Amino acid sequence: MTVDQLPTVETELRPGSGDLHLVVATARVFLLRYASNPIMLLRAPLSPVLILIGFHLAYDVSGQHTVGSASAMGFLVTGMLGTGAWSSTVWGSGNAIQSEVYEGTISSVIAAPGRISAVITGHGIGSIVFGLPALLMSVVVGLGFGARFEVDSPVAAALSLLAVYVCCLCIGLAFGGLFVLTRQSNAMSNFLQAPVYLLAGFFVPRDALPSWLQTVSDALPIAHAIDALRATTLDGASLSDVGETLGAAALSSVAFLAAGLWGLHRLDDAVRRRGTLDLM
Amino acid sequence: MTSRTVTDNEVVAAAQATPVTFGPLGILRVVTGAARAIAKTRLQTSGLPFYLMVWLSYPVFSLLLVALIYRADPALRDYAIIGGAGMALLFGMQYNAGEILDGERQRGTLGNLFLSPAPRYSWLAGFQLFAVTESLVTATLGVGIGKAVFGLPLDIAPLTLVVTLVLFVAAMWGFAMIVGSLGVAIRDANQLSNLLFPLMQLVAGTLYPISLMPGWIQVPARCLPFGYGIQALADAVTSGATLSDVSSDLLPLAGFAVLLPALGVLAFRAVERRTRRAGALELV
Repeated sequence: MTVDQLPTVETELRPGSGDLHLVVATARVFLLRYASNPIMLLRAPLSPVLILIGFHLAYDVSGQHTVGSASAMGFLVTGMLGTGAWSSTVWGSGNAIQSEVYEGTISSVIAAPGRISAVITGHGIGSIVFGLPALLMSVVVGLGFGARFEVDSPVAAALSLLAVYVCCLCIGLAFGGLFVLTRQSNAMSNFLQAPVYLLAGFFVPRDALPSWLQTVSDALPIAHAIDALRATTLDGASLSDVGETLGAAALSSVAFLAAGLWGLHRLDDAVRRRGTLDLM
Repeated sequence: MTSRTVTDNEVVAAAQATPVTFGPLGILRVVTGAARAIAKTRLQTSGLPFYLMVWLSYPVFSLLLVALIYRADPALRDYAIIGGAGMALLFGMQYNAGEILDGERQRGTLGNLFLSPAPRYSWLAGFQLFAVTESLVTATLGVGIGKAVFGLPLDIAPLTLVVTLVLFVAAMWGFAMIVGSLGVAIRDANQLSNLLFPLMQLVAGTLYPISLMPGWIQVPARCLPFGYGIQALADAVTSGATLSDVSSDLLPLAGFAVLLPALGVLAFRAVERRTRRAGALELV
């Protein structure tokens, strides 16, 4: 009998409360692991702030004190929030399986009835929570360097910020299968960072991109979420003002999420049948 | 085959035996062998496509990013393209220095390297040869893309370029050795590099010349070699500057090129002594 002829392994646990517990437990372990590393504790809030100041100076020395109608630093702070969310996704969700292999816990993850997607989501959420102090630091430093925010609808701003993180998680899940299949999650994480910085308009407005790149950018949910975040925090836009933009973010997120869940479900069964996931 | 028990005296005699000496050719062989081994390890670990993806994506996309930020200021854009090439050198050497040693330890081969009769600095030089080659290729590619896509004006002064590169690489080798030694000591070279790199990027003058930075950043920037090196590189590649034109940058850079490697060697020796005393070289 060949491997492909083996019966599909159907686990009893499907998305529900069990998976929720698994997500929370994985996020908790992720946070405990990172909190035990002094360099990570230093690096998490410091690196984004240094990068933010670097880009602020780049805009400053070239005489660009505004981007559109917003202050350049405000534009960059919102971009930095996107960068944090995206980095958390690629290094949290993307590296989830490789991290389990490295820690020697992959066998338990595979043997347990929980779904891989729940573990990957837990890593992603843990990474996002760990990055929250950096988010706060970026805002504080941004204000110190002259960022101006105009929030007329806190609800719209909060929803837009939430959308940034949800969009990142959906893209992360969509790429999750690829991260696992290639067994090169570190390389994938490194590779995926910079293009999204550019395409999502984190540091340069999207209308400055060549038109063909703008088309690619439109397909990314995170690009729309960042547009909404900027509109609500820098221009005082209301929920109805950004409804269309958030809708585009939601629609493209659903497409990424569906592709990700479908791919991970198939991958989950396949790797259990073959028993080769921990071969890195 | 027969076997016999080795006596204590024989063990002591073997330890006190005259160490194998290596001539220049032998050392050269170790240097190139170590560089080749690291290159093969990289390619076999990640495969050519992923290797290329990782090492090319960051410099290429960073180049596009700065070119878009400075889209209305060609002079700053040209500087930042060369700064990006300098950053590729900085990035490659810094990450490789600690990461290669960390990798050797994780694979359990660092102890063997220390026990081998080859001079320590020969295989370390081999590791760095790989890092320098890799970084130079990336830097050259960055300048090539800058020329092809953004019309970077090239007016290269070969002598100034070579002298600058030699001094710049020597200074960065020393800096990378210091950071790498610290990374090996704390058993997390990669995270240490991740912690330090944004700070270096801020003060290195990769995005803008030191002279345009605000005063509070110029102070630390003037205390490090990177800004001098990148400014001299930019002048040598785009303005055809002679050695005397860039002497104000080359002189401090030359000082760093002497000082930092010496400090790097001392740092590495200190880490080696410490790990030998603790018997912790292979501990991950």
